[in-house]
Amino acid sequence: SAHSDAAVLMQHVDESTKDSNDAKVERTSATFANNGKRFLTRGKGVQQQYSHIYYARLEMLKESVKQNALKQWGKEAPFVENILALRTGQKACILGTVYKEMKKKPNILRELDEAFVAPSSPRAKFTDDRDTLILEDQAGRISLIGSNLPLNSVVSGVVMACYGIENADGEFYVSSYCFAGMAPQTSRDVVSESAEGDKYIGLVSGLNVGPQNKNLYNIQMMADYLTGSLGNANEQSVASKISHLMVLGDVMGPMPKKAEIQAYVSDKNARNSADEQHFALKELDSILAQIAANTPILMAPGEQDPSNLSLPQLPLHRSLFPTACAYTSWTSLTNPFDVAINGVDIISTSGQTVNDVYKYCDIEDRLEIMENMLNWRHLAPTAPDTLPVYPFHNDDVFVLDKTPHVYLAGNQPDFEERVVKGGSGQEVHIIAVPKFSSTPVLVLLNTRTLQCHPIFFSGPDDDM
Amino acid sequence: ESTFERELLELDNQMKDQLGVSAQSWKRPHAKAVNPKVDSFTFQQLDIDTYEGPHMKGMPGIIGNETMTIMRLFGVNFLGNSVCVHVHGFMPYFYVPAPKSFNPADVGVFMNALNAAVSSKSKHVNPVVKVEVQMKENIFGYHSQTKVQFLKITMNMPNQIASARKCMEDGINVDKYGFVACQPYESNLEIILRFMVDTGIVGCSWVELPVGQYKIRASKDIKSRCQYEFDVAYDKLVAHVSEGEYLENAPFRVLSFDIECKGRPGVFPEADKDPVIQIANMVQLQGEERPFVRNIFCLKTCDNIAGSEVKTYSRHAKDIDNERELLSDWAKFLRDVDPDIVTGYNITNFDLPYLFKRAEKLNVKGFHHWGRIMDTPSIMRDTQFSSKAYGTRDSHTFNIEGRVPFDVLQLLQRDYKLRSYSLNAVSAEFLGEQKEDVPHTIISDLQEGTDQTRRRLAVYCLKDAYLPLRLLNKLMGLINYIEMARVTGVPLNYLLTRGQQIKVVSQLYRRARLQDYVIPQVPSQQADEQYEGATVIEPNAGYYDTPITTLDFASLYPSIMMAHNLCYTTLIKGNPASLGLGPDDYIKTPTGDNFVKQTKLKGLLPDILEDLLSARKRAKMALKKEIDPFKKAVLDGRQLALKISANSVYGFTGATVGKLPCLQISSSVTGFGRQMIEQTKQVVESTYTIANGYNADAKVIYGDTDSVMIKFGTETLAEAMEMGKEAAGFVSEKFVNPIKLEFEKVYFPYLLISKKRYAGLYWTRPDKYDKMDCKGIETVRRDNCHLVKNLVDRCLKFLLIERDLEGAKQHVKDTISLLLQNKIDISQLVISKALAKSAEHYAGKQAHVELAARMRKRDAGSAPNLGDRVPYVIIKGAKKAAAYEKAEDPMYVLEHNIPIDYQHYVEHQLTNPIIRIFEPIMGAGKAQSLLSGEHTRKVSVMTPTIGGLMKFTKKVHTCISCRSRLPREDMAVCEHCKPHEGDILRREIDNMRDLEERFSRLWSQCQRCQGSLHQDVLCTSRDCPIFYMRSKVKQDLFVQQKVIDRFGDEW
Repeated sequence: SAHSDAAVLMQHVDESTKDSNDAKVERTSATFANNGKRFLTRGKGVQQQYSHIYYARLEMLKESVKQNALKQWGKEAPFVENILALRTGQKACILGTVYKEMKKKPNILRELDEAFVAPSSPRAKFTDDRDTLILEDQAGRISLIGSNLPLNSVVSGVVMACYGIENADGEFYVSSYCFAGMAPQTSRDVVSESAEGDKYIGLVSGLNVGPQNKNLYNIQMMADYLTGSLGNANEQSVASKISHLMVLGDVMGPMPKKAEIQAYVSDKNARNSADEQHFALKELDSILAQIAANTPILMAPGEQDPSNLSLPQLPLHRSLFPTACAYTSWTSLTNPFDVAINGVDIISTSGQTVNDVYKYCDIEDRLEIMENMLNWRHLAPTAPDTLPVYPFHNDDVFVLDKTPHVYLAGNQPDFEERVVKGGSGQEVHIIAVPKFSSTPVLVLLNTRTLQCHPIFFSGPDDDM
Repeated sequence: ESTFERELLELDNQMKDQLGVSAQSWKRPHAKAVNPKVDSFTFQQLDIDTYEGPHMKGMPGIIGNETMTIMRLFGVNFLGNSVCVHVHGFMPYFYVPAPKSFNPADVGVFMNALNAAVSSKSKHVNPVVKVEVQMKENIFGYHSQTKVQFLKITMNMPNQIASARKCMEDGINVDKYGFVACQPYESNLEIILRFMVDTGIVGCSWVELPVGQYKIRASKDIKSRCQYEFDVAYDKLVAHVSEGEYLENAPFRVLSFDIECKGRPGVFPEADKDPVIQIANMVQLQGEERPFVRNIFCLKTCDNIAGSEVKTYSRHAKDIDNERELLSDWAKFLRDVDPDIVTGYNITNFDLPYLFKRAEKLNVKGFHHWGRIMDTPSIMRDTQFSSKAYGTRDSHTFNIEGRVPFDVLQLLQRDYKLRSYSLNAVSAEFLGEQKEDVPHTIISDLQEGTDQTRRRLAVYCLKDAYLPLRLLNKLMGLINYIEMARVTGVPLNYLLTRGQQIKVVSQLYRRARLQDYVIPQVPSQQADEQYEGATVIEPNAGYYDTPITTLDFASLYPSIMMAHNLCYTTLIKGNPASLGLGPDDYIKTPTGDNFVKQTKLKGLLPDILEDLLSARKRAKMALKKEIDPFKKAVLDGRQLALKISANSVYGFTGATVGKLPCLQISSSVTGFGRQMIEQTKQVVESTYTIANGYNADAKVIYGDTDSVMIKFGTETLAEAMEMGKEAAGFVSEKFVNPIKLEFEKVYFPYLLISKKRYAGLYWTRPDKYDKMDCKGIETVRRDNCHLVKNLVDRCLKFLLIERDLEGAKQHVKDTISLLLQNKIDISQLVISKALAKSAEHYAGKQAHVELAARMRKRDAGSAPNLGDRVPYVIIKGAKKAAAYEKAEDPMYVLEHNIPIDYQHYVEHQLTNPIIRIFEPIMGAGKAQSLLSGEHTRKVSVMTPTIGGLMKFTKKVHTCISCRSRLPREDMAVCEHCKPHEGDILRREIDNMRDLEERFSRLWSQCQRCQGSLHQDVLCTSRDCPIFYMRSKVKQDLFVQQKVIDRFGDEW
């Protein structure tokens, strides 16, 4: 059983760590603070509607957007009180939430129509030449026109200011637009290389263990690497300097779509009987336990994991990983999460937010999308329009009131990183962490230099 | 609505382009001076009424008479100017047969005798103004075309006719002719129709006032608000036939409006208590696509709406004064903009009566002057409209001189069978748009809020005023009704307010007049005489996997009447020989009645029918040429209306309570019909046989009224079609022209269930089927829930299109299983019935009536009103609960988690339709297996959150997995299930995730649909497919989160 396995494993771990005492010392020395309590929303129910989120978002971002706009357009920029106060032919600045009207956006009304035929292949993008932008504030809305619009990059839910003129057709001709820009960033003491050497955070996402991905070879290799039982002495010494392993969602593979109709054949016993996911979880639990015995694990749920679907996702329940959870080194986090490790502010999502924005804009570059989100000061602009979100009442927890040092997104197609700079000297390391199941990469992030070192695993099945 | 607001703006800009100004101009175009000596004046009349007035100098009539009947024509000329024409000198009249050997010189004697009789028996003094002798013939029966003396009795006023008629029926003493009593003729034709018949004016036709024949009213005598006001003698009018340029329509004005009232919580707005807060108006010119006036009258201040004029009323300290001003201004607006047609949605039974009563309550001076006659206010009357075809409805009528009320709701109720007639449902159906529906309880909150919330309400109100116009445009409602008015000769307003008969009456009188026939007034009789209806060849029920050829008689009943010259005028009463008719001069119908042949005398009804059918043929030709799918549908509607009109001629002769029943005609028609169907069967079955060299013996498997279904025994569609064409031609030869059997379609496969119930794939060409055709099957009936319709529809698709019996069976089982497990969306289970009359008028207790009463007790504001459709679902009741007690409001069911009686749905809704469909295929008794078995075992039971028993139950915490009792309430699973906690949690999370996704998608869709992100969704459109879904998912998600919570906080 899992328990006895773990016991054996622990013995094994104890023995293997004897030789590298220093590694153990370093691991305990990394400081860790969870600053993401706001994401830990337990349901008070779903009695509110989504309008409150938009309302709160606009209220929270209004001032920053305006300040940034005044910086750009000068102190005299003619902001009107609201959209209704616009007068035809007069130059004005307006501020509101963007709504992108898209012909190809999935529409549940259409899908419920009996005549609806689902497109044969799910689209990668829903954009279309006919898409238009509307800007809305608490008073009204107006169509935006002009060649200078961010039609290709912006998505619904972004708060934006526009400088322009209302034409005779009642449309707002935009000559310039502006977002909030990056939020302030706390300064980080960059120390010179210490005696005990640099520390690393391991980043991985998309293990996708499940019925469609039974090959755990690469994952086991990664576990072996992390536990120091793989590679040469040099590699082992790097591994030993990994203070935390962050798992950015989707440890589980895609869930098979439930066949409701077949439900009547299943009897009560079937309810308790184990299924394929159960086995997947069990194996995962055992591998994660191996790692946890050695390296602290920070586990965040992803789209496919057994957590709530609407953002923010709550931490994975301990009963799902009974063995791994038994270690004190195991920490279950929310998605998104906001932590500080060794003084590095890290905000991370398991990728849904980025993947959703990707579908509704024309940008291919994931890092550019992530950078845009920092400039919009928002982690999940497309929620609630196309991304399920908890219907907050007076709050929008996805508004960024600070810019992190590191901004992560899991479950991306490829490993990519980039350093981007904000308007007031902010410097952010943006990292796309790939799906391990298709790109078996563990990314090591140096917590001093914030440089990344990808480590590729390729098992016997991989044609590499 | 954002798109709607943008639409408003576009409208405004288009107008700006055209007129170069932004202000919406209300006034009609300038009326050019007219000189009667040089100019004739031509206009399209849209409304005709009468009034009493003194004789006018230089006009026909009785000089010096103080009270005469004057006709008034209202209309519009080519340039869009409004016209009112006073038509003088037309007097009502009726006929009686002259006494035997009447000397025409004695008309004075007769007149005096009748005047004396009427004067003594009624308050009318000497009302008869003229008696003339005319040679006429009774329309009823063949009289060898001999005209006899009739007395045309002209009266001063229409209301005097009844008294005179009564006197003639009772008998009067006429000097040397002694006691004269007789049936009067044509005494019940209303004066307006009489006038139109005699002058040749048909509904909405063009009328010309010839040069030198009319007078312009002096300004001191002006009575109307029209731009032109003329006087003319009735016999000087020229009625143009609706051809060529007179087929066009004048640019008349259509006003559509909608009001909002501020209700109190829980009560439907009442005019004597609740104020009118907004009135939105749209005015459009006939022939243009967009309204050129868009404005809204708002109580209190309100933010601007681009593209529409917002007029606010907040000047006075007291709202009631502001409201007075608003109402007064609106009435002034109505008079200024001067519409010819007034439309809206349910205006006749809501908006107009409400405004009327409200202004009366507030004593708004001059408000009620809606019409075009300056000193005539509008008055409201309660009426009841009864018709065999349309049922009984309570209704209000108003006199609005010169303007035709044209309620889009009434139009739709007449012409379209819909599940729901709410504006939302209708716009979804015809415009393909879901409309936001703001409950009136929220309207008060919006009104009491800010300028912005009132603006929101105003946009909503404007949209409700715009939709009726768009519906009229899209359905070509006015155009088709104008066409119908012209074809049948009745005024436009009759078409919405009267039944089918009046259209036949109008046509009959017009024809009769031309040929000097007079129409007797037949006293209404009881419908005791029954005649045999159409025949049905007993269906040979079953599932046919071979092509079934269908031959149809085109317009069967009208064709029979035309072919055999069946008419009032051709009916031979008594022995034909006594009328000097030889055997070749007449025919004997299957019912033994005799009619003369066309060679001897052509009947009037065949003439009328020819007109209608040739108009239909024209419509069908145009239909063939048309490419635009929507115009196609409209033309199809037009040809269908003409078909109905043609068939109503037959119905007219058979209506025993009607104006002129003649059962000899109607029963002869059905008699011929029966004979022809039988004959067709006989000819087909004796001709297409193996013995005659065909591959198989043909068999007529079913026949009904005007069609026969033949199994030729051919394998391929092409062969079946070939034989159908051949047989149609061959059999047609045996019938009298214009009766024609036509090959139209082949059904393959064909599922014949019983009389008038069948379904099949419909082919008109061998390579591709046209459609799936279902008759009398649940897919087309509206008193079932959607589940039945969808299930039957899907099963038929499986059977007929995919030819997959197993798939169909599985689908039935799956559906029943989902139903029993409470996994079917409640909107699928909603049944709806119209609340046609109040509870005391129903004989027994009816589910929807009782429910409406219960809902009224809970919340009078949201309860259904008379005329509404009441949606309900069947819930589990106490064992002996009557069916009517088990109906419940779907929203109430959702909110209180009340268990639905799924068994009821299986037994009472699904069983019969399923058995009917599957039995012909699977064999008698076998279809029952679809309704019981493994798939019906798993049943989900809900726990209601209300009800008597709940007070006594103690909530026991059970293990989420095995339902065993738990010692503490903070546990999720029992000790036994603890090792599987992760799996159990995961399953529960799975359920939650599904709900979360639905919640998110449904509510964000509503946010999009209402066109605003920052405001709460208010819409309560029950006709929207996601209305119940989004409430249910909210409820379910709440419950599911509670379950998840029990697993504890230690994440």
